[in-house]
Amino acid sequence: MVGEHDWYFDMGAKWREFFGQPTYSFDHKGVHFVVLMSVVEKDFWTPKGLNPMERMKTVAGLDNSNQSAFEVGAAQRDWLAKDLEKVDKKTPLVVFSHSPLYKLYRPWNFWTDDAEQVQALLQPFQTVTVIHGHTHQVLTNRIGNIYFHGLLSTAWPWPYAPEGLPKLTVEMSRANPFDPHDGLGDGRVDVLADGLVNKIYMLWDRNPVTVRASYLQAMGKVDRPPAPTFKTY
Amino acid sequence: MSRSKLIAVIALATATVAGILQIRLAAWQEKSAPGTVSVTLCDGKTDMTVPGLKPGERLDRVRAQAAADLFLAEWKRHNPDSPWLLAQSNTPAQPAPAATSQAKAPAEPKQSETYSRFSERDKLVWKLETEKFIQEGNRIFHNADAFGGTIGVSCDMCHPNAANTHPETYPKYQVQLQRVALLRDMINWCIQNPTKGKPLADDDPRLRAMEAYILSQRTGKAIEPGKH
Repeated sequence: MVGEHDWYFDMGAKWREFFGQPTYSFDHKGVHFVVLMSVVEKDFWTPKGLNPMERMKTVAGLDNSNQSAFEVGAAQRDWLAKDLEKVDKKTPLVVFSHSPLYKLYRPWNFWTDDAEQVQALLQPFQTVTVIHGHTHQVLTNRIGNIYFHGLLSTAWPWPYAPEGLPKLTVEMSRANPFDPHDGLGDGRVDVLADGLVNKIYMLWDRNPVTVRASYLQAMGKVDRPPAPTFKTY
Repeated sequence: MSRSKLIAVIALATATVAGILQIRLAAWQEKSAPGTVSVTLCDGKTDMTVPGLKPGERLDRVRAQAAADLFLAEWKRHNPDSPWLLAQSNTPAQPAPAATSQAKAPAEPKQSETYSRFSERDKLVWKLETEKFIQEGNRIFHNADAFGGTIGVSCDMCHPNAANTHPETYPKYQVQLQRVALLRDMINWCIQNPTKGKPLADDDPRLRAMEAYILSQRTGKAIEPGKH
C-alpha cells in the first residue's frame, strides 16, 4: 500500500518497479480485500516550480499548508465500483488505505477529500473495515456500517489533531520523548467469524491495546479501551 | 625595540585607555553633581539626586526602599494627573457614567502621560516585529540546517504546529534530566537527541525565535507550571 513518502520523489516509479500496480484487490478465506492509493494530490508543484525533492518534502510535512488534499480520485473510484460489482453484499470487506477514508483534520492532511464518494461505494456491504496509516496513533471511528482503525508507526509518533477527533477514539497516551521507542509499535487485525475485526495495537514499550468489534458495534457502550494517562496537549 | 622605548609605549597605551575610561565615566555621570548620584524617574524626564548616596556606594535594603519611596513621591509631584495604581492594574480610570446622565465623549488621552503615549503606529510596529520574530522561529523549527540538526530531522516532524510541546507546563521537573526544566532545555534536548545537533546557547537568536514560535502556537492556553 502506497504512502506519500513512497511516491512524491519519483511519482511512484520505484514503487511500481518493486510492487506493481498501487491499486488491487484479492479474496482470502471468504473476505474481499481492497488496496487503494489514497494519497493522490492535485499538481501544486508545477506552478511553484518545485524540484522532485522539494515536492517530496512538502508532501511529507504536515503543517506547511503548501499542498493539496489527499484523495482517491475519480479513476480509482471507477475501478472500485467495478471491482465491487462482482462481490456479494454479505461478503466482509477489508479496505487498506494510507490516509483515513474520512475527514478528520485538513491542515495536517488527516483527511481524504473524496471520502464521502468512496464511503458511498462501501455503504451497501454488511461489514466493512478500513485499515489506514498516516496518523501514527490509536484511532477509531465508525461511520454507518464502515469501521475504521488507524495503524501505529514504527518510526515516529504524531500528536492527535487539535480538533475533529472521532468520538469513538480513546486516545493513546502521548509518547515519552526520553524513550525513543515509546508511542511506536506494530499491530494485528483479527477478522472474526461475522466479518468484523478486533484491532490489536502492539505498542512496543507498553501493554497492548485491543479495540474490539463489540466496542464499535455498541457505539462505545461496552468494551471501552483503557483511558490514556497522559493525553496529547 | 629597546627596553626603555617598550616601557614608554606601554605607558602611553595605558594612559590612552585610562583617558577613554575617564571620558566614558564623565558621560555616565554628567547628570549628577560632583560627589552625588542622580537617577532619571520613569517619566523619562525628571532627574533627582539620591540623598546621602556617594558614587560607588550601594544602599542597604532599608535605605533603598526609602529612596524608592522618594522617587515615587517625586514622580507623583511631577505627574499629578497620571493614574499610577490604575495604570498598574489596567482597570478603567472612572466608573461608567450613569445611564441617565448626559453622556460625555471620552477624553482623549493626554500625549504627555506616561502610559498613554503609544500611537496606532506604535502598536502596528509591535505587531509586525513580533510576527516577524515568530515567523523566523517557524522557519527554523521546520529546517534542520537552520538549527544545526545533522541528520535532516526537524522539529515539525514530531510536533506539527508545535503540538505536544506544551510550553505552558514549564518549568517542571523532568525525571530523566534530574532537574527542573524550562522549555528551552527541552528544545535543546531535542536538538541534541532526535536531531543530533549541538545545544544552542540560552541567548542564541535561533533558540529565542523558536521559543517565540512555540509559545505563539499556544495562544490562550492557561499557564500551568509543573503539569505533566
